[in-house]
Amino acid sequence: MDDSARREFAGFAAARSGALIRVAFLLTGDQHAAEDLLQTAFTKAAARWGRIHTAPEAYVRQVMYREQVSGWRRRARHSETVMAELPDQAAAVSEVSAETRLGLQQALRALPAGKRAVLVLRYFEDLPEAQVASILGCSVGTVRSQSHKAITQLRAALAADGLTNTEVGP
Amino acid sequence: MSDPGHPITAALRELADQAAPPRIRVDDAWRAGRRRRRAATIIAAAAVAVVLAAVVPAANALRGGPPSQPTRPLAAKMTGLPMPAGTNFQVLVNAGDGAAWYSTATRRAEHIGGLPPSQGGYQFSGVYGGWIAVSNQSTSSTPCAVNVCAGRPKKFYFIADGSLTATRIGAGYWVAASSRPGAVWLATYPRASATFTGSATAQLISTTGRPLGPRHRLPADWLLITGVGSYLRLNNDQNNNLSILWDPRAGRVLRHFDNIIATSPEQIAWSPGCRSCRVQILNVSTGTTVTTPIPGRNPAALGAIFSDDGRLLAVQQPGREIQVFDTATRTLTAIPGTALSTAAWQNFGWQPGGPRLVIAAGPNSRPGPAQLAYWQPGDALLRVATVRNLREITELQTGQLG
Repeated sequence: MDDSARREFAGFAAARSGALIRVAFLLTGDQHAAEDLLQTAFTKAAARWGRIHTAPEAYVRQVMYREQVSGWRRRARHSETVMAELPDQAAAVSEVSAETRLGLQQALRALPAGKRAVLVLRYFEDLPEAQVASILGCSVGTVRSQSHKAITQLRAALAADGLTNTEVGP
Repeated sequence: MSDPGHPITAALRELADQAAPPRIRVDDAWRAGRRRRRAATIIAAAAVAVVLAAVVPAANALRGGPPSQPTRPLAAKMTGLPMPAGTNFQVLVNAGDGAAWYSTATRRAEHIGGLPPSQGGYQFSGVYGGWIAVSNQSTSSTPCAVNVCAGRPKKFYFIADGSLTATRIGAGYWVAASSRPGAVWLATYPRASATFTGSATAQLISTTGRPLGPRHRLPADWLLITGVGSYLRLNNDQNNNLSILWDPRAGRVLRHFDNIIATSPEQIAWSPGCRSCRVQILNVSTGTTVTTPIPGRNPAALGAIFSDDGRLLAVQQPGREIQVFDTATRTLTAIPGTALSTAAWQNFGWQPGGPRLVIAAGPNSRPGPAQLAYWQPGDALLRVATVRNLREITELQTGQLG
């Protein structure tokens, strides 16, 4: 019984890790932190596998979002800040098409975890506000206000860099 | 629904494309998850037990039944198997105005040459492959108030493990370990009156005093502690719990740490200190982090030391057994018989070049008898010997184990 569950879990992890790491990377902005987040989410999923094995991905995603937002709150008190990548790692390859887009990416990385999570759910996962609120465990009003504040912050960051911000906004 | 051409959506997709394939340890996740599930079951059972423990004695008291058993107090001595006769440990000790290697087998001290006489003896600090020795004798006529400026340079010496001859490293403010065998970092100031922060330089030099690289100016407010990989660990002048990993070649900060508990040539063990935190080990060369099962809630109270090769981390929480975390297998092993009450002193270190943990302990209140013990991976129990000789006890208590 336990062995078949373990195989089922391993199959799920192998199949969905690639997609989930993209979300984790967006939430954390760092490869190692993303892997840690995904590992934590998988561990929690394994603990509740008997109850979630029919739809594990939704649970893993919810854990990642909630863990990142609450984890960010914890880290705000006990800061362990990644100041720069350790140089022994290979640099990530990126196709940057425009200065504005690059500026937008930098501004997204600089957003607080809670606001970034809202934007990832709304604009990357393409979820409606009600579902975003359900995943984050907050009200629809909070999602709206966080989304609004995040976009305002993105605009301000782009303006500070002297880049166009007219296209940014719902 | 959002538009796929929306700039935020596009930027997020480009960001997501930068994620590399994950290195997820699926079996670890499964095992940890099952442990978590079992722990939840145990906690639930424990909660029931706590309620019963509170209710049953009360019920017994009402019925005139027996009281519950008191909690077993911590031992005053280490317990284990007898240590084989002739087991030898070398302990670096002060002997007269010099230093010596003390052998626990022969109970004799062998004098170490190459050190000038020092009335106050020497202070030792461990580096990879040996020890740094610096005179305890205070330098006269400090040019400014204590803890404001660097003061006169001190002479530093290196004693290789087991060597009977010390070599002169050079004069400076502080010498720190480096990850390179036969090399150390020497911190210096341009003059004795220079302020502690802002003008120190660090240079990699050989243990015989030969420069191996350029001088690097350290950032203001940060003091040199040790080399890790090709970087330096610096501690904040005002807050000793705050450290940075600093790249001397690029002159930039790579990372901040709240509470570092131990370092090895390539690794840093630390904990943010939060309620549910675990001790983490970062390998600075590979950039990988391992989260250990060691509770990191109170990192200041943890005693920890890496083995020479960095594979094993011995760690002790107050009033608990010494535990050894194997970074290769990621297993944590508790060493039975090492949890002592606060009535006893205890210190431990790894034998140089080998995976043997040496532990000394004795009563705080009176001089002896003391105990000397060792443990190595695979051992179920400690090997313990009793030490009755007063001089030997003092040397174990003050000397550098290994």
